[in-house]
Amino acid sequence: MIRDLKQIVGDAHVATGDIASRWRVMGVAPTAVVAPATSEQVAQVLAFANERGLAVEPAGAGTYLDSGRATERVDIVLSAVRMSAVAEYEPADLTVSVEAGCSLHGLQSTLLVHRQYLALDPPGSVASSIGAIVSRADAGPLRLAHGTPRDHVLGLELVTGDGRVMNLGGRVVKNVAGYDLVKLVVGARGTLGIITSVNLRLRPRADSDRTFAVYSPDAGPLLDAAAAARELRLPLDALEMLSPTLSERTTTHASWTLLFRVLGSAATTEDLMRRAAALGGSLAAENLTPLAALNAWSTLSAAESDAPLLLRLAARATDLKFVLDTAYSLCERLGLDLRLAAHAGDGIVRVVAALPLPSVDSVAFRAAITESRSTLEARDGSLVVAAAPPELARAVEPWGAPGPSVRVMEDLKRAFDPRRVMAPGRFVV
Amino acid sequence: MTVGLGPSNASDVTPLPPDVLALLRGTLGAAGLITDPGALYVYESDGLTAYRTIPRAVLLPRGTAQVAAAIRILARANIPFVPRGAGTGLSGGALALEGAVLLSLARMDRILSLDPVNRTARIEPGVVNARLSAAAEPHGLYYAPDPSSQAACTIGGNVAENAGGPHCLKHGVTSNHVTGLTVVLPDGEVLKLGGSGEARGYDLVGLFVGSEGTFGVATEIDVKLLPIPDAVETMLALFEQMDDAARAVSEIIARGLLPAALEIVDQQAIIAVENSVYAAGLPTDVGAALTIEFDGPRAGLAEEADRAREICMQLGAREVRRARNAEERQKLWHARKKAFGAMGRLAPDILVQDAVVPRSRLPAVLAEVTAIAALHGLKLCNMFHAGDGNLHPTILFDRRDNDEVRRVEVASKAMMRVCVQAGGTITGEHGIGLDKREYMELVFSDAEMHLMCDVRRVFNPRGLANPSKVLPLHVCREWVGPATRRVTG
Repeated sequence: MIRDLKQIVGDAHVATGDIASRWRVMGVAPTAVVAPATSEQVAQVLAFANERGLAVEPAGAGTYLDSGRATERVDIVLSAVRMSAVAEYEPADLTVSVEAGCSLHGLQSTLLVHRQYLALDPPGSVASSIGAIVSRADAGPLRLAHGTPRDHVLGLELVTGDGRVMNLGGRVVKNVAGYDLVKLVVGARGTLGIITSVNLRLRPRADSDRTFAVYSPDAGPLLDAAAAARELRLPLDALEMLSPTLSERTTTHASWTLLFRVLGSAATTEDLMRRAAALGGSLAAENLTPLAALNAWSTLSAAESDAPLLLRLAARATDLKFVLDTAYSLCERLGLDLRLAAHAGDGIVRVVAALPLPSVDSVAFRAAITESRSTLEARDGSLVVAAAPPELARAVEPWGAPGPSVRVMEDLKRAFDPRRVMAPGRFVV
Repeated sequence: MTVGLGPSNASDVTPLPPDVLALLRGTLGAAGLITDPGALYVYESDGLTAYRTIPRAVLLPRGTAQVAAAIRILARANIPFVPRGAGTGLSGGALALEGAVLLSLARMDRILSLDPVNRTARIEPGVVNARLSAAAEPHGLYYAPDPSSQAACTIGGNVAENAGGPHCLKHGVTSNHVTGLTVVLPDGEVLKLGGSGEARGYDLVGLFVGSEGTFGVATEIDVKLLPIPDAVETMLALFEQMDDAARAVSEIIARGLLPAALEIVDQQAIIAVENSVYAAGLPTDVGAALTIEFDGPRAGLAEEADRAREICMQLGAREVRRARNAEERQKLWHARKKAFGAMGRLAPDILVQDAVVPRSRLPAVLAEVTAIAALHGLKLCNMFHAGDGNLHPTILFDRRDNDEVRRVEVASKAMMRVCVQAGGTITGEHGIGLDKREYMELVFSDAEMHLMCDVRRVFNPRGLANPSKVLPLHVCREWVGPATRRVTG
């Protein structure tokens, strides 16, 4: 197997032994890590794996190998690290074509020159590759106004599990030719094939980017302010609520914090800042300086991506208090510090645990997750175990049951990956 | 271009077998079933009238349970079905081919719930697009995708086609606004896709939207509603040359402005509008009119409009008109929104094409498209979603002139080829349907189309839902894919 892989990608780009063991997938070391340079090489690796019945785990920088379901088996980790070019960028079209291994940070730097950006700010955005973000459908606070990767991806190149190269979607901002297989691949977590490049829709960078913070000793007044912002239909780009322990790290204020972020012309953001300030009433509040704002958003992003245990609880936007309450009791039950962040306009609360984790046995963990999940699902919500130490992750279903449509998902997986080469068992199918 | 696809006379229609009819009548009631030959003529085509065929019957179910029951009856008898909304589609997608019956969702027009605080609604597919926005308006909300036919077209049809509209430049197309679906698969199984909370598997909602009725029927649709913007600024810039208008579009985007809509009509279209009841008082000697609209918070909006106006003037606009109130705004929009209807005055038949190119290629592609029409001696109008690069070259012709019809077909294909070569695609919002099946090969490889066949077979293994649409016929007939082979590991 190693010899065959080296023939495809070159001797220098197949690692085994100690190096491979650093690319563990949920604690399981692969036999080899390969780094192809082109989609043709990816196709050859996958065709080879398909023929031999090997299991392949896709990776970029290797950030997310410990997230998802425990692996059924893993023989090869395929990293897109050598495919990281910004392939085609036409600023006048507000679109870009980028190889999957390119980091979000690298892409944003290129776009900045033309005062454009990709309106996604997923956790860990500095290191994460575009391929990983698209594959995981990761989004951050900007999702309030700008949506998730499904709203930004115009097209992509996918190598299916059996090694067929597919160009799905296109490069134009509107396209209804054929079935929208792009939507299927975005968020499929590598179970259909390997994304080798992605075409993205961009936004012009705003002249002004402002963040306003409101602080409160209790969560209640901030929940009211968030609801009022909704009621007033303030066109915010992000609305984030932080618990005191998390806020201390991001804003240096050890209190409950509500962050309003607005992008736009100077006149627009000035006006919105004023309206946001009115919502805070008599609570302590401040306009963050650009440096403080940058620090707050990037620290929050890093806290989330570095969390050894990350839980995402969600329900309708108007159920935010209920979701927060569910998060409190879950933290209490698991003996976790109350490190919470909420996409307050979307009804999504994250439990962002930090080291050292309290010792929780896997049976208790499973029981607590199951119970909170059913509480949330009864209100049309969900609970996702986005990251957990392997022994805990193995004890739970990260996403909960997808329901009867799972049969359709299984059949779709078969159309792309008939021999279950791609990340077997790592997602719901 | 009237294509013989099936019976064109009601007397040639093969009636449904009596036992099937009896079962359907039992399920849907006498009023839920149309078999009278005279009444069937109404359903012989959609908005693309070049294709006509008379369906065997039209079913008018109410509610998911009736849809599922009717589809099960048809599936047992191996009779295909075609879902149909208002029939305003422009790709022949709602034609009943291969002995199919039409499944009209017209009677399923209830708004099941509207949650103003969470800004969501659950509706039946027969709800007319504009009616949903009207229902949301008292709550300060609206449904964003706004196809030009929004006064007639249904949201179910919008879901099938992944419809767009002038305002998707800023707010996105149908798939950006649909969060959940209840669907009936071609074997009658009812399935819920998506819904609230975070995703627990593949994005089946995103896949189903735009599947043109070939995966089954959506019977309940969850949509997002948006707050009505505080303020709107609408302008109309008049240019001597189409080329300058197209360059203004690129320049507005390149300077970091993000209008809600950027729409162009050419001189032919302006003349047609000015000769109609929708006359907006525009000079008929200009080469192009560019409609620019900004929406959002009041503060800063006028300033953005000023910047766009400046760009237009720099690029040689003769004048830029700005609406001072809602009435003036509507009038400025007439030049764009009523252009298609006004075309009817210019020729017995019109063929509106639909293709997308990267914005920066607009001037070059428009020049080529115009040259192609001239080469084939055809009259051409242009009205399009310029901000999205979504062209709608509209060819005026007379279908009784066989040679002209042939030239229309040759020219259409040549225009598609030009758009694809410029890095674009063959449809931005009208869909493939029947009309563009053979163009699919311009953008997709055999392998890609085979994968699409496999995906369709997951939902529609026997080909009973909207047969013979979207993919070229030979592609799926020849292909036996891995999903069908059921390979075991």
